[in-house]
Amino acid sequence: MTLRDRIGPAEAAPQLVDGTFVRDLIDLDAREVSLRVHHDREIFDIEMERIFAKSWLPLAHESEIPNPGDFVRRNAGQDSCLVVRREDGSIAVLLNACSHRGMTLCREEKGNSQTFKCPYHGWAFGKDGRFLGAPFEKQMYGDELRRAADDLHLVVAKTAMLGGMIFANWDQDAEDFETYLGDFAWYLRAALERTNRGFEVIGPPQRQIMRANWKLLAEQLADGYHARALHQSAGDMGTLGHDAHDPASWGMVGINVSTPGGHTMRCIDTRLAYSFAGIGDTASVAERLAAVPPPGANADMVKQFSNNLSDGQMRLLADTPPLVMGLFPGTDFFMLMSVGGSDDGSHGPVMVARAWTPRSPELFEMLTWTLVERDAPPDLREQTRLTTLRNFGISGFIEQDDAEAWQGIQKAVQGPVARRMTAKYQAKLGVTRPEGFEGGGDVYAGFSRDDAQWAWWKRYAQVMGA
Amino acid sequence: MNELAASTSTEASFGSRARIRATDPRYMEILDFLWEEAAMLDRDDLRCWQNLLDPAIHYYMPVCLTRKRGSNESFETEGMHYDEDFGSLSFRIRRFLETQAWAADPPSRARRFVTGVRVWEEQGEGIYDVASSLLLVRTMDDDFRTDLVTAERQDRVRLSETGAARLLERKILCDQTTIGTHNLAIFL
Repeated sequence: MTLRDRIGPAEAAPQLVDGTFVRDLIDLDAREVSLRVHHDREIFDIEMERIFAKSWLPLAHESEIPNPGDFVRRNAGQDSCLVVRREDGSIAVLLNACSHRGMTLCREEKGNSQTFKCPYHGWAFGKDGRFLGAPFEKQMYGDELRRAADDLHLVVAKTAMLGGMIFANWDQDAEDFETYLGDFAWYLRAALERTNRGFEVIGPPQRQIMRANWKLLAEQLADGYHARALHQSAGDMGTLGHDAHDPASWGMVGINVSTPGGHTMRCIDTRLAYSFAGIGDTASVAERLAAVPPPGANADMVKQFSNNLSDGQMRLLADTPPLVMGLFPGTDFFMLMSVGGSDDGSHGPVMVARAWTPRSPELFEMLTWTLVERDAPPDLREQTRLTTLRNFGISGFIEQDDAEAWQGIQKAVQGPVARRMTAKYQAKLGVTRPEGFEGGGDVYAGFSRDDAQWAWWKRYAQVMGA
Repeated sequence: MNELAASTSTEASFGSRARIRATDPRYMEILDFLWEEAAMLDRDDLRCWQNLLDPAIHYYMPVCLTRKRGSNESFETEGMHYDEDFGSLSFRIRRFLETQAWAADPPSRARRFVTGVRVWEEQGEGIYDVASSLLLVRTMDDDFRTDLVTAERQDRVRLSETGAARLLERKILCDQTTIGTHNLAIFL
């Protein structure tokens, strides 16, 4: 039986070889997920077709390719692609495979090029993916290639941008980016497009491998509950949880948000987590933002916010700035207010964008970019770079401990008995939208329970089970 | 001795001083230092290792990219895997030794093979540029598969008259664009 037969037409429910429907692995009433979803190759293949070949995926930040002809090579799902700055400044995402025989067109990870020429037979393509010509073209083909030039165009992905991050989608029929973001756009723009000049990234992303199924990272983003145990070390070091018995200081209290599209977010309630001593109860949003600027900003930058954000978005950043914003299926932005990382006592924000690419059921690759406001003064820029590096990414000690959970579960599901177990998401808060809160989606204010995480799984079930 | 003067790109980054022959006692001192240091890290004796670090140490690992031959930009100046000073290394060591750091407890086992050591003539104050090749073989839990990381290390080492050597700077140029182990809860 071929993969195509198993997956069937887009509207059919996928069924595994043993007769199980994928949708039956997610118990929507009991709020439990069979751990088998992290193990089976069959399920993985269906995910790659149904999710990664059809979803908006982040590939690069536009500040990585500032000039025409600048490009980086990245993976969009399992496909290699080129993210190229075109002559007019716009961005093209091209499949990195020659339309002639499928040869990998470009073998560098970064560079500047006016054209892309295939090493195999020398077919050449423009920065926009247009077929330009082939060696000995007349002798080989007469004028056939000229007539077929449109068909020989490199495969082009749809592109979109958010906070300077370039997203691509291979599926020409996919929902447009704004529809994909849905109610999440309001929050993301508040966090990522708050200043006049916006963000840039510092250097190329780190690339690392994880011996775990990609979903273990993706679904964890909305899990506030793990902080106390898994990040015990950060607590011991005085980075998180300054009061071990106070859940707010562990970032467990605030506002969680999910959308039907499977995007999830956790926002920290600054009023509980930080001291506002000296600021009166009647302080305005602007005053509170200036007193405790959201991650990555300073009091000076805060003045620009009102040019770019609505009053409601300003309030969001003042009271409950987004900590982790996960986009289904493979993206997140993580902005942590102020953490340590050195015995010199220095503190700074963690500002990352991450993307993950599944490689196999038990392996994914992760890219980590450090984000910094273009207007950040040199000292804030440097502190952001260092604190981010020390807490997140391959040497970051907060993230190292997260990875233990991903890899630990992956180890467990190698066993057939463990695979029959379920992961449980019954801690329910319910929709508790604070009065006057302007953000959309399903809003859960209070202790960070399983609600948003479960919303991720509902979306997964929907995509995999239709 | 001048025939050993700088010729490759690695050597160029150390300046134009002549290389010290492997028969030189100072070379042997530095080689011994690198072996002793590797052994300390291999046996997870991080406190001891910390004593080898100069308080002004800069310990860093740029991100490697696959670039066209001759681009000379394989290593990024801004993108880093590590960028540490004494305070942050000390913080990392305390985390491993004194707190419940799940990523390093149980610790992985690693063996560092340090070869191809080259030392350049003293720059004054007993400071030498030292390049070495590192093969790191890392084993975790009961996994029989090992992780391999290979790198060139470009160090600045200070030899004192009493023979105590200290690490002033380490630049780690890893050969992998995607690092061959899942985390760097480990020093190279």
